[in-house]
Amino acid sequence: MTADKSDEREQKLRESSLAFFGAITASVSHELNNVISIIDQTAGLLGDLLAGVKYGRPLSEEQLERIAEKVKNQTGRGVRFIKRLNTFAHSADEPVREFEFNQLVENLTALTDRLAVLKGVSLQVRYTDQPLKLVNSPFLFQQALFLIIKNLLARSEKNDTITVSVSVQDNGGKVEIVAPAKDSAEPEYPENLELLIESLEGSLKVGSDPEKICYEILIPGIKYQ
Amino acid sequence: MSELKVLLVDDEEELVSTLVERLEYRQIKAEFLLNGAAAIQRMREEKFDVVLLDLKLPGISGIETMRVLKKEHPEVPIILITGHGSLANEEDMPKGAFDYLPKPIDLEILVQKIREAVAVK
Repeated sequence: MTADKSDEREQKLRESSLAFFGAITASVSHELNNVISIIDQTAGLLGDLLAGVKYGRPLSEEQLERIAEKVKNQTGRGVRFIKRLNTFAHSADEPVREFEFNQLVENLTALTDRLAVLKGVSLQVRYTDQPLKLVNSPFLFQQALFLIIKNLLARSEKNDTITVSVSVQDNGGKVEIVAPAKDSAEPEYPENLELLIESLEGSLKVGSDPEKICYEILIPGIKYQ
Repeated sequence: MSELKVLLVDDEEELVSTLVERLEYRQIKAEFLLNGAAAIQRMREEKFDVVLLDLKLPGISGIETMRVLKKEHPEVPIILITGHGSLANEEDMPKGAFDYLPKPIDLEILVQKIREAVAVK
């Protein structure tokens, strides 16, 4: 590969990575904003109830318990989002590292779930029975998976299901993403997907039949204990 | 003046249920629904004075819901709720909306906007 080609490739990867990072953080920031909005309104409700007490309106133990429960639920929800975002952010720490494949897929699909919910689509994930340790680039892999899910979501309709299945194959980790086929539309190759798969030293299979569209990513680097 | 009736549409149930409670504390009758399709259906059954509509809704989007509601009930003002960054400024506000409010919502401003919307109507 010439130096120019290599620079161009690196540039494309950098741009794609930044766009991916931006898409995930924007989605999580919307979720956190919702959490804060609920806590804010719940605090406001408590203020309303306390103001009522000054005018002789009774404030029951049940009302206070309900408010405390709401705040607790939303705090927990916020903490879960922050943990997922933190795990995601640290996946870019090193270009290549050891990671657990199921956990990585679980975290990325959870971060992507809001996009599916907005489309009215169900995102279902199936994992391997045993932990699956790989040594590869978790960040680039998540990016490839995200590009496929995003592409399939754009073509999906309300009440569709997209299934993501994790398995072991040929000393690597395989992930299969299946969605219902729409008319006779051919599957698409999202921009930079092939470049990402190449950087992972993996392989990509894309197929379709009248019923479904299927993407298969296989990445090497299985680590035996 | 008869009691105001507001329909809130947002898929964050805990948010809209709390807003309903707070609005009722301020003598504004309110009801919530979690998606656009249900809101379109409900508006066919009963008239509301104002609709408060989230831009990001599951299934039928907030914009599409607003388009249908404006077509079927052009006299009912719609106030949009937006997450941060959904609308960078007023110029980006979808045509047909009376106004928009960013989340987290300031309830006193919301009440003021509801009253303004009804007064203009």
